[in-house]
Amino acid sequence: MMNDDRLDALLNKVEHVSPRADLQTRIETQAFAKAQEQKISFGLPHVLRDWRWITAEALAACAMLLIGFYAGLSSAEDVFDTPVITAFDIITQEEDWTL
Amino acid sequence: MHGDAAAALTLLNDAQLMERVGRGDKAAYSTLLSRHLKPLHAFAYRILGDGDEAEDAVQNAFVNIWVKAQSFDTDKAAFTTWAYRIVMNQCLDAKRKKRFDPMPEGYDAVDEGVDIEAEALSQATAHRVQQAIMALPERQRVALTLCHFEGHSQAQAAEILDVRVKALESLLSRARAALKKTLEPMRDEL
Repeated sequence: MMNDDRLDALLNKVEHVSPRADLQTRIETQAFAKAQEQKISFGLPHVLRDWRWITAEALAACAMLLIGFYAGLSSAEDVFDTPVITAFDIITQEEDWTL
Repeated sequence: MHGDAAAALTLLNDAQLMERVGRGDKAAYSTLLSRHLKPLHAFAYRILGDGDEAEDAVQNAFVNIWVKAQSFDTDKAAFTTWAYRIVMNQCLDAKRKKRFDPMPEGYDAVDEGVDIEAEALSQATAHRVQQAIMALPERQRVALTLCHFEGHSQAQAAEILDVRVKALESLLSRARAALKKTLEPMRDEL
């Protein structure tokens, strides 16, 4: 059975090939044309591509919406002097279910 | 001035160049391309066994690299790992489309009656070894190419193939065993 050194020596006999000289130019031409064709806009900050940041931003936006909603209802109570039931009130209300 | 700028780019590492490529820097892309074109073409050639097809695979891969540069995250993978993976996928797709015959035309089991002395160190020997490599299953061939010809560590090759190091070792071991068996009649040719 052939040993590892023999095999490595045979493998090293495999010919080395080089690409044609114009390959780089062809690639550049096609790549730049394709980017233009697809109207790719470069330069989007990496932070916007990161799902962790996107999640954090979405959570922060939701929190601000909730705070704004609750603050709006509270203001309505003050203005109209009428109690406005909010989701928060419903959750915190103690119901006597024995009735 | 232009020459100075190009020279300065060659001093940047792959991650720094990719950051610029992500901003649409064509000069950075060209620098990256000239740095990696030959090894990636050699890698594609050893998987596909055809120079023209290897050029097509590398061309498609590098166009994708430019178009998708913004999705590249240096924290997740090294550029070389990402690039080799793209080229590998291009090659495997090309082979699937071509419905590759594992025993190419003109290839037979090595004839033991051949004049070993005359063929030693000849192109024919290299061709036979290449054909034996081409007859390996795809993943074994890719593993062997990455580790033996491209000089990647087993950890890097495992990452490119998206397998564990143990699995890569198994692929390499099976590839070498198959080659030893196929090339056994050529044992004394060196």
